[in-house]
Amino acid sequence: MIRVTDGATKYGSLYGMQSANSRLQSLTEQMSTGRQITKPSDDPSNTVRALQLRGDVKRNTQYTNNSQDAIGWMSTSDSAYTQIVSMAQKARTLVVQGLNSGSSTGTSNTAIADEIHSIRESILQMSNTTYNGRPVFGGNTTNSVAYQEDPTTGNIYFVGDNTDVNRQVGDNTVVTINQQAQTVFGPQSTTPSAPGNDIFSLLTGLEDALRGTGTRVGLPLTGNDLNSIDAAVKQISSQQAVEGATYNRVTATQAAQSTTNLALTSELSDIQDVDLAAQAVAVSTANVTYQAALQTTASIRQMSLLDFLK
Amino acid sequence: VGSTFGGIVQAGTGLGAASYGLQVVSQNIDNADTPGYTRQASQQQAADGVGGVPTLYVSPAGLGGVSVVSTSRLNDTVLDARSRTEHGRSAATDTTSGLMSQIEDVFPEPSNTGLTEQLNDYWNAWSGVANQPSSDAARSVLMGAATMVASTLNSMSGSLTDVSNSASQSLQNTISDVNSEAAQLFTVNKQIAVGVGAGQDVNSLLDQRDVLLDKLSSQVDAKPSFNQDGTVNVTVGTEPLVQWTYHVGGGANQLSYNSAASAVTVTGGVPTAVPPIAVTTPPPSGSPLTFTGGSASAFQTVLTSTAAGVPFYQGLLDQVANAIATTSNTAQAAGYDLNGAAGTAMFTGTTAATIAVTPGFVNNNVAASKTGNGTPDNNGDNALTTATLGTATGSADKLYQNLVGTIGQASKLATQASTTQDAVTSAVDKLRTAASGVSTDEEMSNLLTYQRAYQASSRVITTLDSMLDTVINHMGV
Repeated sequence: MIRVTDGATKYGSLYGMQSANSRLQSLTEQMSTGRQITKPSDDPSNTVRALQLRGDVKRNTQYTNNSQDAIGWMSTSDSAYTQIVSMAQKARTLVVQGLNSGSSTGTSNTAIADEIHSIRESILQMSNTTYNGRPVFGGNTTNSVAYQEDPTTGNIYFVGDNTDVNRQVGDNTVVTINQQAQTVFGPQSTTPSAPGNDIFSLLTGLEDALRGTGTRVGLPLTGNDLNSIDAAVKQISSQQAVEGATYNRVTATQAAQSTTNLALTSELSDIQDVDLAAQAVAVSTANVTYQAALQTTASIRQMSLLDFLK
Repeated sequence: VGSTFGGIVQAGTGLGAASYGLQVVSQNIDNADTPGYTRQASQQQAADGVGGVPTLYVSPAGLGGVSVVSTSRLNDTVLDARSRTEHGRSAATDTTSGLMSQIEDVFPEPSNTGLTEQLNDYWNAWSGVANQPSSDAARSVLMGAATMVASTLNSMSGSLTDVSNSASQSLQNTISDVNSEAAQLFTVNKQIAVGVGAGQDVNSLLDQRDVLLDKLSSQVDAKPSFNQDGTVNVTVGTEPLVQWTYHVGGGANQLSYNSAASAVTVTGGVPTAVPPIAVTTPPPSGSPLTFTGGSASAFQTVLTSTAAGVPFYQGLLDQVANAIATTSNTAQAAGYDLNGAAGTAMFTGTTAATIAVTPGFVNNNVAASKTGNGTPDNNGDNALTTATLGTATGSADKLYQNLVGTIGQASKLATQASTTQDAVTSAVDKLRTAASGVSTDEEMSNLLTYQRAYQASSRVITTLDSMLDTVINHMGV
């Protein structure tokens, strides 16, 4: 039979009390921080997973911000498109009107020419629409406008650049949120001295034909002019459709991101946060164990043969 | 046939033995809580015809009675050795676990303030610049994040060095303790040798010897070898620390610590052979010790190990710093800044201690554009690509995650090893105190036994006395 000495009892109960106390302490720490992982050694593999998830959540949030920025840009260009198309269609109606009046008085042709001139000015203004200080049809230019009108020659020339503006809206998902001005409005001039071959030159041509001035002296409106303006309207509308498709894609991506973010956040919480109910039970159990260890140590060590010797 | 008074002398030895037994009980009870005390027992023997035992209460040969042969020290040498081994391991695992916690504290993850979040912010700031390449605010956010990443790496590296420095200081203190214990052990050896030579009871000296050995073995991998007379020689690794026969007239060897090289050597041991004792033990070689047990081994590992110590984690952190600097600088070189110039290096330094944002690097130097060569533009494609580099293979983020995983795993294992070892040590301590500790209940029983033996012997004397009274005073009167 093994001897049981005071020292042996001391070591046994001390070890028991210390382990019960240390368990209680670690559970209390988890409870008070609300985290099951308070340091990497609590759960090394889940710590790494938590770090990855945090990165994913942050990145997703950034993608949502990028999408928001892209949507802002595209909303701005969309409303510019809508107005430009409606103006261009109005110009077409005026061309039809001009063709129909044919030999009618110069006064009405001048009135139509004036109206076409103001449409040209309006389209110029619309094509310089900016988002966040950047002209949406100006590509990556640092200029504040995409097109400029030369005050002496009256030519409208391009000061932006024909480059793509890209946004990262997801892992491996980069979208181009602009359409290049040369595709939308036709080949531009980049100098004040020469006219381009774009919608602005087309409108100048129509105006000249109605007035019988400039390049159209003795060359009144013909069916070709109507075809030209039709083609221009069609091209602008098709680019608006391209923009609309991108818009829908980004909106869908953004919706998917908020779902993903929810899933990621919930997984992160599963990994690193404490299940309060379960934890509360564990803490009170550990507390009872610790108290029991204290109680038994206190009562056992009081007893000795000395108590019974008279 | 006994002589007239032989019975009284015989009963007198019983009185003496019982009285000595009570003294031993008293000694045990007095020292019930003395650290290192080993319980003793009075060893009695029937003295029928026994003579020549060098003890106080020996009876004359042939008279009978009881004699006290010796006072034995009731320890279990196997358990003593085992306890020392386990304490050495316990000290090593406990110290390792504590040091690993300190290293782990340098990496406060997962949290909203750790390097992971700062790296996330850094890459997201690149994305912010991609959205608005000419915005000074977006560029400021990026530069703020870059500065934060660099300074966090600097401070982490500094904290690791602090852990290393404090481990070095602790090793120094441990070695001072070992030296003082070695010197004490040498003195105790001397007292034991003298005491045994003079035929004295050296039990308390043996207790002191064992306490010193316990302390030594929890600090370094001290291996005792006991001599016939109770003196002890101690080696650390293969080097002699306390060599009794070797050092007659000398002293113990000493450990000497070179903190710059983190190396420990044994010094001393000038041969002072006193004839006729021959010098048989070689002096210490002076080559650096690699501790294999005790707290010193834990300090040494953390200080020097490139597989588990501070140098290892410092190396991993340097890789993180190098990755962030190299990735960012390469990305910068692929683009053009807001002045239309080719991107310049954003970070200098390739270690965690030295990494910093390049002096003179301003917001406009961030190379956001891929196309603006010579003519600044609003292109953000280079920033857009850079923002995705955090998820690339071998990125700083992934290296850092691995580092956190590695340190977490190491710290967890150290804690588990320490818990397991503590349970083993506690069990062995329990067995050891069960064998050599004082049980007050047992001493109380012994007390009663000796008390009754004393009373009974007195009774015998009283009876003999009344018999003699009858013979002397009442016979033939």
